[in-house]
Amino acid sequence: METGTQLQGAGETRLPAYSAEVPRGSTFQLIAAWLLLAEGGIGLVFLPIIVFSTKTNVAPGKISGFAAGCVLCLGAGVLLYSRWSWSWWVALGVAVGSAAYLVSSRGLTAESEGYVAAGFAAIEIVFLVLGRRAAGRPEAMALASANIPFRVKVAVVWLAIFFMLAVALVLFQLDTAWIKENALYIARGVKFTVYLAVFAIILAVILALFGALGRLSKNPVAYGLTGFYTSFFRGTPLIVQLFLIYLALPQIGQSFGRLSLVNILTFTPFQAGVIGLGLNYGAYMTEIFRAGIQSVGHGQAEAADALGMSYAQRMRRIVLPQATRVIIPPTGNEFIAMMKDTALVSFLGSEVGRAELFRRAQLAASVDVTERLEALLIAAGMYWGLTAIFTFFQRKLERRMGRGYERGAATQRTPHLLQAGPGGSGFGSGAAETEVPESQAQPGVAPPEPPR
Amino acid sequence: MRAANGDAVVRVENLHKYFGTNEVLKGINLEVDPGEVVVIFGRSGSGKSTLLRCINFLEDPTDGVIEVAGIRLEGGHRTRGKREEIRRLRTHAGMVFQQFNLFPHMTALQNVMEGPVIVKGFKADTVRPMAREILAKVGLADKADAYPIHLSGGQQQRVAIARALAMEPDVMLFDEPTSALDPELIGEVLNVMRSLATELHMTMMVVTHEMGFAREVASRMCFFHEGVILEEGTPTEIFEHTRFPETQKFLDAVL
Repeated sequence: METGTQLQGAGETRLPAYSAEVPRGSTFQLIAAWLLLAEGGIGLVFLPIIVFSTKTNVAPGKISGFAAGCVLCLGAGVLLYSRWSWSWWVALGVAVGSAAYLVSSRGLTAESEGYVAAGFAAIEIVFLVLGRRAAGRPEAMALASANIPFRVKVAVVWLAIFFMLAVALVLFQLDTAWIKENALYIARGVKFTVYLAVFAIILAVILALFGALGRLSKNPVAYGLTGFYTSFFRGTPLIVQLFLIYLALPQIGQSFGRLSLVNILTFTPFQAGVIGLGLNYGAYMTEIFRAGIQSVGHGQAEAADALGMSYAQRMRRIVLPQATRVIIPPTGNEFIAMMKDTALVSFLGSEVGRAELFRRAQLAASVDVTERLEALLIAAGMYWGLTAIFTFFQRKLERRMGRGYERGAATQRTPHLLQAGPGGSGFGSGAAETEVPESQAQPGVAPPEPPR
Repeated sequence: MRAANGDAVVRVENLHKYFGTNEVLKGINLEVDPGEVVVIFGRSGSGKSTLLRCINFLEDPTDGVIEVAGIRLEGGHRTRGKREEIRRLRTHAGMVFQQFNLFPHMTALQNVMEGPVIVKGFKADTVRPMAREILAKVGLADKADAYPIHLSGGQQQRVAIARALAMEPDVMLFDEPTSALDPELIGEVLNVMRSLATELHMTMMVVTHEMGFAREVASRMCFFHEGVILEEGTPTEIFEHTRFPETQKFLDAVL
């Protein structure tokens, strides 16, 4: 087949002729082969490490034997990507052999682990059979690979990771009864976590708006005040600020010797959390708002001025509505980040009725000291779920914000107002897509562009 | 409202404008009577746009006096009281920009209604029919609900003219209104401007390089050269009996 395509000569004719070489059903086969490699790597190398690192009663000789099997499996998987069709038989042999070894009592002491590992080998054999025709034809596999949507591949990776995690958790022998008993108690903290974040982001947005207007002001008082605000709250750690508000402010009140002042400056942990998070994030978001306002072209302000608008009218009617489009996506990111920082509020101590997620996890774990892992896993999972949900909504909102601005098919030229957004559009949509940390992505929801 | 002396709509007296140490306008004196169309032309950097922008205080004049519709303001620093006066002056002078500067988050109709509703405080319901009428006048009745991004450059500029007209200004200031347009779109904008002059007898100050338009519509032309009005006259005087070699050189270059 190689010579055939080469004889046809010209580059244009080569590609269709080449793609005709893709074996039927090869998409499926390729997923199989590709999975084999991924799974061979993840499952057979990392899983045993996890298993053995937690067990003390396994003989060293058995570990090395098992590790050798893993390396063999991985090697056989890689070999499938070569041009040798016999590599398939090698892979099959290795898979069957290792399965047999693992199931037999010589493989491992504990039976359950043997069966889990053997299960992997069995899955591998199934994939090998499915991917039979792809073996020894790497170029056909590469062509078929191009036909698999990127997000499908990503989804498979996510599924594989979750499968591995599930297996690992089973092997850790989590106390499911304890989880069932305490999950609800910890979950009730979600409400207060979200409350904290919502109240704090409202405060932060208000502060950021005035902060940005101050930073853009020609008035030295406004500029200086907002400069001090952003400098202090960006220049000190959030946890220090929280303690300052919760512990230091009442002390300031005391030093004035007035009980009323002490009462005013004494906050519950929840209140202190809202104030601290709001002040801190407001300082950071001042920059976001400032950039958003500046992204609105100068011509817009001039057009508003020329109509005779006042500063307030210009801001409210012309500049801020346009800046919002730029401000919303990064603000959503800040909100999601803040949701995770609410965990710091747990350090302000117990207010049992209103304890947020992490505080509850700590409280539950402090009652049953042996269940720390379970409690923390529940809390982590819930934070993760929250961020996943809000990331989803943030993306939707972001898409909505673009309405009326996007260029339809009918438009010819981009006028100056939209070009004014190199700050604008680039800052908004671009940053939001790339800045979402990997951990916030959801299984099966791939990033819009393959990062290559 | 009208100033005691004369009935000029726009009066510029001894206007100086510095950008840093660079003197862009070196003592401009100009009066524009009602219904006049004054075309201002000259090399780029000669100060013609700056004059227009000084008239509605988008730039603060360094020295001199600006009077629009009887509102008389001196150059120099802004004070709180002066700021209010500037806003009042601006409602009498409609401005059309080279880059249109339509509000992209509003439809054409909303763009036109924005000034009367927000600045003058009229009810939206009373302004809407008038705004539609003005849009119809610039030939965009069917585009009232379109967003600027869905309009061509020529259509956008016509909406911008309608937006300025909706404030019922005493004078319209056009700052190179066709310079950002593709050649085939220039005509539609000039047609609207022509009908403003001939049908509405709108007082207009137009900075432009469209000499055909100037010859046809202008009642007076001012040639700007290095910060002064070097030559002034009717189109016939300017085109047929050019006095200064600088003017001739410029006309030769653009015609």
